[in-house]
Amino acid sequence: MTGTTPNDTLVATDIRKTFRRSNGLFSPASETRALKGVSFEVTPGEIFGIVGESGCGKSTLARILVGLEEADGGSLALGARTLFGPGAPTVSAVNRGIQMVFQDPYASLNPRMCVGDAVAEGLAIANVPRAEREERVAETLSLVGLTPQDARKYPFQFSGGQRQRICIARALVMEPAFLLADEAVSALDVSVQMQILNMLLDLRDRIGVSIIFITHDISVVDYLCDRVMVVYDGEVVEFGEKTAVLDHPQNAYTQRLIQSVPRL
Amino acid sequence: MPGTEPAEAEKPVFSARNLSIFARNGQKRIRIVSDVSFDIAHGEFFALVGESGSGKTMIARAIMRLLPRHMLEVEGELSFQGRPLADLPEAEMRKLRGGAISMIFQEPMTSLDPLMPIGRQIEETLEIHSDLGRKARLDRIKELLSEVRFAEPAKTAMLYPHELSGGMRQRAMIAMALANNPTLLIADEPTTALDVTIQREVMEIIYRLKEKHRLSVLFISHDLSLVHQYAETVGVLYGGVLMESGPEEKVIGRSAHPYTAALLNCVPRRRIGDERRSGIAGAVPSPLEWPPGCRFKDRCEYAGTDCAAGSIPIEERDGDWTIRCLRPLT
Ligand SMILES: Nc1ncnc2c1ncn2[C@@H]1O[C@H](COP(=O)(O)OP(=O)(O)O)[C@@H](O)[C@H]1O
Ligand SMILES: Nc1ncnc2c1ncn2[C@@H]1O[C@H](COP(=O)(O)OP(=O)(O)O)[C@@H](O)[C@H]1O
Ligand code: SF4
Ligand SMILES: [Mg+2]
Ligand SMILES: [Mg+2]
Repeated sequence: MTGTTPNDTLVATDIRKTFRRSNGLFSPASETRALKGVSFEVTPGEIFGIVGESGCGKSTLARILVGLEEADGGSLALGARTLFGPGAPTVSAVNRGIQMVFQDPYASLNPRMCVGDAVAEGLAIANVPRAEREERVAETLSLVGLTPQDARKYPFQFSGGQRQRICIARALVMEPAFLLADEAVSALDVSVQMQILNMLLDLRDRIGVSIIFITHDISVVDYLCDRVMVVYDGEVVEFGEKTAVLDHPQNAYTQRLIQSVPRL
Repeated sequence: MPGTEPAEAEKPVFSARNLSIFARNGQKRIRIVSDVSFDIAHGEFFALVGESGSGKTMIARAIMRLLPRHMLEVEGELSFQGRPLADLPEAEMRKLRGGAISMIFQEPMTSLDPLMPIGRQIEETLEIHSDLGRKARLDRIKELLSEVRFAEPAKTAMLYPHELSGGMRQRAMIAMALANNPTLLIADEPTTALDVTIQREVMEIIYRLKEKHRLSVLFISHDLSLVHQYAETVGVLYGGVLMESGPEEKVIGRSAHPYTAALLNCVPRRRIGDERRSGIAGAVPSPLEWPPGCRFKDRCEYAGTDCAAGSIPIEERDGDWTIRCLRPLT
């Protein structure tokens, strides 16, 4: 479907993005350099954390990776396929093999669409036949701890945590090589957050999906991730094995960030 | 200090006795907060922790008498410096709010006026609650803004809220809350929307002020790590019921209540190999669906049929630790 194999590494090179905003007729336009040349690799089957404080560019990077936003420069490749970059055609969002889960499970689901249709939406767009769609939706709902019967229900019948499971099912049904979660547990209560984190660990173990996990929460990175990249003001300031970065941060900002986290 | 009373003899600054809060929903009366009792001593940092919907904000607003009476009924007794708050005429209550009891919120714009410079807003509360003259007020404004770590207080005083970052607004709100030397500061999730580095700054400011002025703090949070770091006394709320309360080193350190222990198990931390933290199954039910008996029953791994039978009695230990459970863990 996506033409990728589970053995492909995702390679992002020197990704740049500047937002320009005109401030009306008489003031000069302002510029925000949201990403100043970000490079990293995510290997198959790993859980890769991207951590940084609000406004550092995490969501901009996420939108560029999945194809919801265009970068000003840089390139992205999955194995031998270039997803975007100089001189290469840009692969559309649906064909990248990277699916996104957002922070707010309430805003991400159409209240008038039943869960089955919401989860199957991407398959329908890809012209997957109805019978196969239903089968894959049922399988995926079970994978995220819901039941095939839940397909007939509507979002209001579910709690916040269950809705986030629905959003994750909607991403997984496309059989992506990479699941990209942008603050996907940040709005949830701690008890529900832990359920979703454990579910992500199980999904990685069972179906081998790689997870790019974007968060501002260092403790969550410590629980979930294998490797981590620390972003500050549009730049990668530190990068490596989670244990190395969190236990022996080298960069001054990373050190301050880690020292600020309250510990139990 | 010679001549001061021993701590035991000191009256609590604030006390809640059997506080219940009911919401009116047509003909129905829904119990949102149930029989909550706790004390806060002079200079004590008391944290009320609980997941969302547990009733933390309701309790804070009940103390401030800010709940709309036609929708919400309050039972039980709330007293401040020995006086029942319910008995105070509204005019006196208004004097207390922003005076001896002040409150800060998660969203600073709920207490800041977007159309007024920060300094002018602080001055207004000084005008209402103190008899300082103009010159003394301006000095006090500068003093307050430097207490919350603004390097150039005179300049900051001239700024409008939109000219400040989120963390700066939070600090400005704290300055305003401290303007009239409160005895009790109620802080409802004051750092939840902030980045951790800024959260750290704001927490250090609150803690330093508490130490310096012997301020009593009612700190409301869902973050157990934060509470562990700063609180002296902790109350754990679930479904409007105070499940466990006592000194931090007992409640968080030794957790006798299954809910406290389970909540601690939800806090993410370094995982080794295939290890998983157990978390808690299910989700917090709505106040319309609370089970009879112990409210945690449907999610508790120690629950028995007796837990559903009726209201769970409170066990008291050591004179400072309460546990509302039929099968405490320790
Ligand atoms: N569509 C946009 N137009 C203008 N500026 C934007 C836009 N999206 C993001 N920004 C700016 O880019 C920076 C990075 O934002 P974002 O990627 O959302 O950060 P994060 O997700 O880490 O909080 C911020 O300064 C933000 O204000
Ligand atoms: N006006 C109201 N009428 C009925 N129920 C309410 C009202 N306001 C809040 N609630 C309910 O009261 C409970 C406690 O809410 P709240 O005090 O805001 O919790 P917390 O601050 O701990 O998240 C919630 O279940 C909420 O749905
Ligand atoms: S009373 Fe029963 S259900 Fe409630 S916490 Fe104790 S053991 Fe669990
Ligand atoms: Mg973001
Ligand atoms: Mg609240």
